Amino acid sequence: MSKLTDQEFLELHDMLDALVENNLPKDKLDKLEKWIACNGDVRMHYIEFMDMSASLHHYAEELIGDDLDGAIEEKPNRIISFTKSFLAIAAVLVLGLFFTKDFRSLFDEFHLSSTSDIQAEETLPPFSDPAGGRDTVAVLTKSVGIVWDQSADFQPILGDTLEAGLLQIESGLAQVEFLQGATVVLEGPVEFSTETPNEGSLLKGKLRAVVPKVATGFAINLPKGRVIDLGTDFGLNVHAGGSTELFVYEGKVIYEGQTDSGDSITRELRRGESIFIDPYGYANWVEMPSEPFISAADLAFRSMEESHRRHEAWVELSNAISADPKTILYFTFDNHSPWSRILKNESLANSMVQNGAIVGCKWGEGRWPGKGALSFNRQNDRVRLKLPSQLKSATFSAWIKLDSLKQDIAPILCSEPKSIGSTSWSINRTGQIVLSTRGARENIHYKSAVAFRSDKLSRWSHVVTTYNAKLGIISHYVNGRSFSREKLNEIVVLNFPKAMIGHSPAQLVDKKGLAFKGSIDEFGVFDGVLDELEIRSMYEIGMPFEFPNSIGTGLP
Amino acid sequence: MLRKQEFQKERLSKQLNFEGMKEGEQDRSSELVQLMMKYQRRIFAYIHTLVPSRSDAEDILQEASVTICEKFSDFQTGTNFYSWACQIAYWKVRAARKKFATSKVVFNQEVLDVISQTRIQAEEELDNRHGALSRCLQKLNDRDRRMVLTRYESGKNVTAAAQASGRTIQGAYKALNRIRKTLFDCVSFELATEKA
Repeated sequence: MSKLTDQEFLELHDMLDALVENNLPKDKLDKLEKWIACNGDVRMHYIEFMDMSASLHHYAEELIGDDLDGAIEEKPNRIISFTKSFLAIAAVLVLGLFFTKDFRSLFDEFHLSSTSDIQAEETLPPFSDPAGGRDTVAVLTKSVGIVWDQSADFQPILGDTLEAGLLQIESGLAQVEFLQGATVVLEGPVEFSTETPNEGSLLKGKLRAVVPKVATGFAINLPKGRVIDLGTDFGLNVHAGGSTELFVYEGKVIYEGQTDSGDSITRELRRGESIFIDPYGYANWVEMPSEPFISAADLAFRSMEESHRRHEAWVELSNAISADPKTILYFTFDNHSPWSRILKNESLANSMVQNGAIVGCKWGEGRWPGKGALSFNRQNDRVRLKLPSQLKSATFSAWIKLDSLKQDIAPILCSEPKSIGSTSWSINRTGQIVLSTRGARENIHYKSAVAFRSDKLSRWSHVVTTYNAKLGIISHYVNGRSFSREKLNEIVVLNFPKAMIGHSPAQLVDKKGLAFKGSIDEFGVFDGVLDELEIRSMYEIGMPFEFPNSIGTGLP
Repeated sequence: MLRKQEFQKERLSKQLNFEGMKEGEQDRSSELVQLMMKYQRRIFAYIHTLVPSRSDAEDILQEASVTICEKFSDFQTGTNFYSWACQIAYWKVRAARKKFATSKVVFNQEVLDVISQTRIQAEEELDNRHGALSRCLQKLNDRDRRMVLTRYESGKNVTAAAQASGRTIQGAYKALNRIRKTLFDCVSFELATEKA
């Protein structure tokens, strides 16, 4: 029985995923069946996976049960659905074991009562918040060059869920997807308010809406009325003076409004039709809107264009870093094959430092689609290095996505702390960045202020620490900004015996050492101290620009 | 959680009409309810491992539950209820093979046997994984957690999960694949860390 390779694990996972979704093709099922029969690892993996599926079912039902707590009396029609079987048992027990009645009839009665409870549950309003708090109505799913208005109280980032509230965009494009299915592309400057999962208000500026049939009835309130969609694609532009243009690209919409003199106005617009509503509320048919509206496809294209442009900027920067004589070690994690076990050192100036040896880690997706990253999740995941440099001053830079802070440390770069000057760099349990150096008598830990709280977990962050022997200062940077400084207690020459990325040596905090829990997609060590402008430039050019991906499933 | 269990027990007791029973009968019924409360999740998980389709597994659990009730007088207090119940469930799965013969997710008898044996030997490990999963669910972001739990609610499907998380159906399939992978790796890591 051979151990599974990473590739086989991925294939197995995809098969099991399809299996629980009832869409595993017959030939794959046959393969899985044979695999389970003859490979113990596969069998155990299968059992653990199916057990997890059962547990998820259990926890999902528990959640409904928790929702019931304190509200049982008020909502007698809602029932914990996993008691369905209990009720059947009850019926059988009462009637089959202890009574002489026909238990089947009561079984059916209980069963039906349970079913009707479930049906009643399904008729509850969609998207209600189980916690009883404010409801999510939409999600910010895409943006290009977005600049929020300075006065905006709420400035969401990509992937954030939106409750009812105002979005004020000074410039750029944002795509908002409502939970009921409608999508609007907002084009700055614009003020748009999300109201319900199927309703918004346009106070100022332009939008284009695409409304699938499931979201028919999607409405947008305007200064002098509202547009009700009947399954279509339309553009709206509310001008500063209060006038509005409405253009229908596909399907049909109804405009309902009122003039200042109190007359009601209703217009039904079909494909290719356009109206202009003046500041007093009167609607006039017009040939064409005065300006085009950005569609979701345009946005996707612009987003792709911007991605491409920024990727090129990052490639240019990384080439410059590679060629810089200060660069001792530089891993871009790009252009590696998925099975590669060698991590290429891109530093052109320092041939002394060799490539890294990847142990255990899996390749995944980095800050943007197509960007490579290594994920460190398992106990022994690490990259082994030979880093023979002796540095008086140094800069350490990394793009990391930290998934957990439950361990004592999340090691980024560690070395064996036996010789004076041996250096390690990590995030500790409280979220502080720590540079540790071995002094003449003991290890010295230079800790930043708390940089990582739960809001930074599972997001890409840029961390830099500089060791400035000349000034006797250590500086920590997070996302391009100087974050905190500490005075050096003892100046040593930094060195890196038995260096590893993503894993601590056994002696440091734990008998077996600890693995970084998360992903790394860029890492560099530099001779000397980079200044704040250089560090900020590294962040601004390298910052993620696509939808944040909490786990890298793709391959470089 | 305690309160919810009390609620379930109270509700069950009412449905069982304990008040109308003799004392000995009440004790035995009460014992059965206690045991089922304790082991139903594990019995369902056992069946689900043999029958990957969740709705099919739920049907078999239902049938097994009826038999467990009917045969409960044969069960000796103090012996292993879970093993006893799993034997009943196993025979229900075997009996149901005809019913599921056209289903695309039923394994042959030999594979069923080997899965069943392996699973029984790994119960303790699986219990630990169940506990770790709870912690890993807490680590997911709100959107992913809401989505995956919606998917696993009774009667809910991927479409419901897509709506709950504001994703397209295709996006929801991809996201669920990713989330399951994340959770699986997280659980494995949690256990490895505990062991270390």
